[in-house]
Amino acid sequence: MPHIHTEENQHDFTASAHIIRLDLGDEPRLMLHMHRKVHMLLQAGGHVELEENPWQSIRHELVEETGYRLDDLKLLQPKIRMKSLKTAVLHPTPVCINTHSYQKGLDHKHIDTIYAFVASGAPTEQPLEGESQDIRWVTLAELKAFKPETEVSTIAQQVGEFILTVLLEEWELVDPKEYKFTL
Amino acid sequence: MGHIHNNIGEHDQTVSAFIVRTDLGDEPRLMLHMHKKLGKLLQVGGHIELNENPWQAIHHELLEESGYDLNQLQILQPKQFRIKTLDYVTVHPIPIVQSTHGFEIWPGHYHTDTTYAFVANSDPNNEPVDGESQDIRWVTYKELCAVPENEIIDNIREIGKLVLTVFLKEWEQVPSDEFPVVNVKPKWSLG
Repeated sequence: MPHIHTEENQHDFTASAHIIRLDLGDEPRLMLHMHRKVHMLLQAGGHVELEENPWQSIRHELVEETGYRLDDLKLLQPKIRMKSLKTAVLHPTPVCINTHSYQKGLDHKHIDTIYAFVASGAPTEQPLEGESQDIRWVTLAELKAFKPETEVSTIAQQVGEFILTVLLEEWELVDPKEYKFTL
Repeated sequence: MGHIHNNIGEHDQTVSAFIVRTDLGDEPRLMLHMHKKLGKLLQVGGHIELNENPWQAIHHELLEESGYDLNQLQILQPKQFRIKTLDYVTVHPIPIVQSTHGFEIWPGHYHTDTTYAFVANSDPNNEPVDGESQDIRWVTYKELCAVPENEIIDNIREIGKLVLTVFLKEWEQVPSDEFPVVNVKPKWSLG
């Protein structure tokens, strides 16, 4: 989806997702796709539209870009966290929130909320037409071997490594159904 | 500051902060202020303007509404299991809560709030600025539980209770100035 706030120094909110599969051999493997415009490997994700919250956004971005429905996935969450709210829609805890410049020569920034998921099998659907069909499942060693900002985005590489080496062990798996989309 | 996206169904992004003091007697105390328009006790916070990120927004909201400089505060973060820096990228802290709520008085408008928790061990360096609530309370767990229902929003009481009983013990205190307010320079120069 296109940028929303496009005047100088404005920010758009985005949501993105790292997905790990545990059933592809001995080692966990991280999903990356070759972004069609920036020609680097990235995690799936997109803009949070003005009519949606980040959790609604990542639900449709996942289906569109990876073919995964939330039913196919578990969320990685810190063991100590807020588990319910009565009068607001509680969203999952992200693994990272960061602000980055989008493109050389353009004073436009993205504030990205990154979630981490674990899949136990192949996705139910295919990525939509028009989305990248070049999906890779990489091991930690393969991830670290990519040249940053040439073959892979630095953020995807460093956050991906942190999830594979630390969070997969230290955070727990939670059913995404625990997080509602509306009140 | 005013709302930003005013069409039906649209969301504004907000930030807010629960501040705990541990130097006011035996028990930790949570800061709430009486919101002038709503007549309810709230944590401090406000809108993320289009030209700022959430951490820049909480930096000035804290100063305006609580008088605290960010460098007087420790932020609560998940113990050791967090990303501290990324090359060429501005990393923000992990919030204790992210949530979206609507308004009875304004159907069809939503706020998606990124909520942080801080620890203070001293008075704020500054006063809340003119025009902000000057009615600031430091409440214990028991006092928080006893606030009448019409003076507080249920979520705020629930999050405040969890900050005092769980996050304060189980998450670790990190100096807030470990997180940069000025954006990290990208790999390329924007001239």
